[in-house]
Amino acid sequence: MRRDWDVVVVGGGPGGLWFAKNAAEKGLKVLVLERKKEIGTPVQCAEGFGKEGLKELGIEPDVRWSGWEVHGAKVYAPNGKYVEVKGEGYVIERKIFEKELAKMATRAGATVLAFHEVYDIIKEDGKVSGVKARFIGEDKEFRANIVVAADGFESKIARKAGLKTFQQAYHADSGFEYQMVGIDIDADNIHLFFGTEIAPRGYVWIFPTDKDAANVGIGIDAREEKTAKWYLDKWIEEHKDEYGFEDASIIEVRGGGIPVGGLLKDMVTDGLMVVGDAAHQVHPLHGGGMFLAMEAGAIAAEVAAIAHEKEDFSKDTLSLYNKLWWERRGNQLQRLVKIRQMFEKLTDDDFNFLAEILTPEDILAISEGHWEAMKTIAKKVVKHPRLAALFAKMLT
Amino acid sequence: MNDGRRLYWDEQKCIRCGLCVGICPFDALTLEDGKIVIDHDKCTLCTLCVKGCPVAALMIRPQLEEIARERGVALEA
Ligand SMILES: Cc1cc2nc3c(=O)[nH]c(=O)nc-3n(C[C@H](O)[C@H](O)[C@H](O)COP(=O)(O)OP(=O)(O)OC[C@H]3O[C@@H](n4cnc5c(N)ncnc54)[C@H](O)[C@@H]3O)c2cc1C
Ligand code: SF4
Ligand code: SF4
Repeated sequence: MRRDWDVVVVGGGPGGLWFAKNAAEKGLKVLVLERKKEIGTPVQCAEGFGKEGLKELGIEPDVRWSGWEVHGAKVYAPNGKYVEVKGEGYVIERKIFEKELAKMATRAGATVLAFHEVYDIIKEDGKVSGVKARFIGEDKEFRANIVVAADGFESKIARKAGLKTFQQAYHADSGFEYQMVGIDIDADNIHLFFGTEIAPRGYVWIFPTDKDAANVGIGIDAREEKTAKWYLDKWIEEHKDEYGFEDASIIEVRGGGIPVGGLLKDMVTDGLMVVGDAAHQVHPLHGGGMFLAMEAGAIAAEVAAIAHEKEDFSKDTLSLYNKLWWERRGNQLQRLVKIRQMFEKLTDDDFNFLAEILTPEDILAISEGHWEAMKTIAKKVVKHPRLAALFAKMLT
Repeated sequence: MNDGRRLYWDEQKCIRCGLCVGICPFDALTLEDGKIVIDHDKCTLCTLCVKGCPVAALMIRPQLEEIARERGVALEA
């Protein structure tokens, strides 16, 4: 049956908007509904985006959103020793970036509507066939052959459709961040600070947005008794002389949940696909998810086009998205979940030891989930019985 | 659930990040028009949202009567 729209996307974040652009380019009639009054605002992100990722997506950096350029990362052990890893990237202006994505989607033929809160799905004959939304006191229904749930960490839509996408607390990180100005930092690099006292299971970050400004934030295990804010404030207080935090301005306060695991084997049902944070497609070690949401959006758009061609929107046909995504990315992320699970057992002494022996190449390999490299690194820690045991357990 | 305790949301502290909504296993929370709405019938007081909230804007507290009793004040009818 022909509907008003080929696809309705719930959520105008990077995942939903990139899906829309790609699907519209393939000739599909796409509508994106976003709850926020303004696409991109408020920001809930540290805004780090690698140059390679942008290239892979085919996006030319644009001065309107490229923000601040960084050339590497310094990864710090609890004792302050750091390893410097080279790597080009931007700390982007996400507010503007997302608006640009909305423009790209629109120019490709999609329609994006802000301030439209989807509160329910429409089901017919057991199949998802549209959504109900609210817009300034007005109730609206939008029919579509496919609904894409790109509604982020909160993700209610897929659950309403019967998918078990609920975020296990064990795989959730709690994030909190200040955008600060008037601080004293090495702005050529992003800075990541590890340690069990600093950030249980996570890290504190400084992502420069200017020569004297940065997103200073933290991600921790969401099950911790103390809040992410508590840990971040403590760290800032302890480092105020080093980075000139005292009397610095805070021009934005941000936070949010980060799904650092619990990848979904099944991200589709009849008439519905799940993309991005809603499907927990986030890097399990560093929590970056913009690129992954967009990559998944593009894959889902390919599958939507195939379903459209076949005029078959069943779970069977849409399952191709599961297959393609797991081949392209899921298996790698699953290895990274295993690495994360090993990392969360590390003590401060272990971190300090690793900072002595790991090379920048090792750290890159770890962040990419290279299993062969992990075996090589395991050989380096044989003299450290605790670490050797942890690595051995992880690799089995 | 009613054992005299309830989940409370502090509008002043909340930064509207949506973490609690995503983490609740019982679908007891929604973010509507910038407010966290708690479905007390669904909430099991499991504390996951309380711990996850980055700014401690959610807490489980005795119900109003208990607070009033603690403070020795009478509740107005
Ligand atoms: C503190 C923090 C720091 C981070 N730092 C980085 C970083 O440096 N780099 C990086 O790559 N990633 C980072 N991430 C992760 C990144 O923000 C997410 O992975 C990314 O935004 C996922 O994109 P998405 O499109 O799936 O979801 P989102 O960007 O969350 O978009 C979902 C959209 O859906 C909308 N929505 C939800 N429900 C409804 C509804 N019912 N109706 C209509 N609209 C709805 C929401 O308003 C939202 O706009 C960070 C996350 C946090 C919390
Ligand atoms: S206490 Fe548990 S059940 Fe109640 S709202 Fe919070 S997460 Fe949900
Ligand atoms: S987790 Fe806390 S700050 Fe975030 S929306 Fe819920 S109550 Fe508000």
